[in-house]
Amino acid sequence: MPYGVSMEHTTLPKDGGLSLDPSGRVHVVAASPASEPVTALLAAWRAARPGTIELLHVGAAPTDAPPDTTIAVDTEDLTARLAARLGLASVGVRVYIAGDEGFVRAASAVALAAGLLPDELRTEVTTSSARRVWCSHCREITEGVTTTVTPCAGCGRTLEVFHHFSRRRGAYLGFQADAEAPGELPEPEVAWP
Amino acid sequence: MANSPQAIAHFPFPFDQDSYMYSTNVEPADQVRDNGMAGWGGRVYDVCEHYRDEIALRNDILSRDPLRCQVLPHMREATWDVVEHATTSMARDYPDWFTREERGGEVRWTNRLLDLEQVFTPGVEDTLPEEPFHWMMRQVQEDIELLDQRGGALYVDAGILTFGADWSLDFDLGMSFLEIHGPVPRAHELGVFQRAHTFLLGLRAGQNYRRTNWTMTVGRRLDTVTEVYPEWGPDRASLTYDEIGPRLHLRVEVQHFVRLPRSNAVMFPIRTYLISLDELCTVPAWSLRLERVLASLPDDLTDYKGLARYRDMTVQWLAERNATLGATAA
Repeated sequence: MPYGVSMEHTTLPKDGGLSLDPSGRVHVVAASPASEPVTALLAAWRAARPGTIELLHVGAAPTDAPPDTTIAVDTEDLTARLAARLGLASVGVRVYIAGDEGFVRAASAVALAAGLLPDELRTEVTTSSARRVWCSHCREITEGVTTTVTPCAGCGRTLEVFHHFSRRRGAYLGFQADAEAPGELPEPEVAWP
Repeated sequence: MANSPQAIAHFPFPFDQDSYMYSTNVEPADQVRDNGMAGWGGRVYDVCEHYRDEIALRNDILSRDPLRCQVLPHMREATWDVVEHATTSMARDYPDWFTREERGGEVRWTNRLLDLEQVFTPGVEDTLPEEPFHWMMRQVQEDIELLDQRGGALYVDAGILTFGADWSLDFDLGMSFLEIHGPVPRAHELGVFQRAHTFLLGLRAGQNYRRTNWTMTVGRRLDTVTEVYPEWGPDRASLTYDEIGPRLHLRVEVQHFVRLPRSNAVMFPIRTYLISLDELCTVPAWSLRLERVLASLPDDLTDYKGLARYRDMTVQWLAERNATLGATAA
């Protein structure tokens, strides 16, 4: 990380975890997979019952899945189903998202685009921290980036992943790593396994 | 596209000390600022000798990359505020070139520099040939960002960036003021952006403020946004000592802060000025000060501003030039 940059002030997302927000009336949980934090959230809801709860997930259903549970075929389908669900306006909606980093950011972008406020959204990265990277030159998003320097899936340029994140896009900024001197590339490091 | 002696005399030389650090350097915008020469500032829209060239460049950039100018749907009212503010200000400040006549709800706008005449009804989009913000931005040299104020924060929800210094409006659109400045080193610890943010939230219509920012650019190139970094990045590495005078430019942004009265949006015009070091050295007090500022610039800011490849040789070049000139501090 560049010397002098204040990480707490960057746009890098911070995940507060899936604690239940008792002020919500409609709790929508999107998980891929529905792992331990989701089970704990469902248990917390059962104990307090603040409104209704819905689970949308990929993979094996938790043993205590609520009656209103939807199984998606993959994270893309799950994100689309979340978007469709949030398109139906409800008052007091709270959204909880858990899964790998790429899914959490893409699904969070969908929730924010649907009009949710950041305070109404709770997130936890439960599996891979691999990033989605937006290429500033061709504007394609490369998924599953684990290294600080990575080829762009769109234009093939070698991108440096910068510490700047767009919630609207759910992606990190990437730019050509050797634009100034072609071939002069920093050593890639596995930073987000 | 070089600067005339008159343009150099009005250049917004940004340093009033021999060293530089971020500060909340905001001041009222209605005063002409002393630069030791003819001064600068006093107008939000600065129409200069490069007007037609820069408008043509902007039109060319927009035709190649329309995403350089974007307006989120809830900012439509603010765009009409911009049209009113720009046409009113330009007609007042440059009556020889621009005329705005309002009659019976219609505005007749004449731009003699572009040989353009347009009658429109404010608030009625189909009375203009294109979306109002785009239409207006093809007639000013400033990049303008529009900040929506809601929930105690400011969000960049519309803007244009054709002459930007290594950032991407397309990526940053929708971010808050504090988020956009997240990657800037040191300034957060200094409280610079927090203070600026608080200041902007309380900004009132009719009280315009301004600040300057700076970096350096190799070549007289206005379009150095991140999208086209592969085009301008190589210039940083190819600069040689002998080319510093004509090729290396001090790049200064004069940024204004204007509260728009109807939409309550904050308008943030950014005007970019380039001066080659040969031109800058025609004012010995500036070349001496720039040498000292660059020599003492901390490494992290040097890196962030993209000067690392040529800072040291530029200090040496300025030192030699200043010795030759026998310059003394103003």
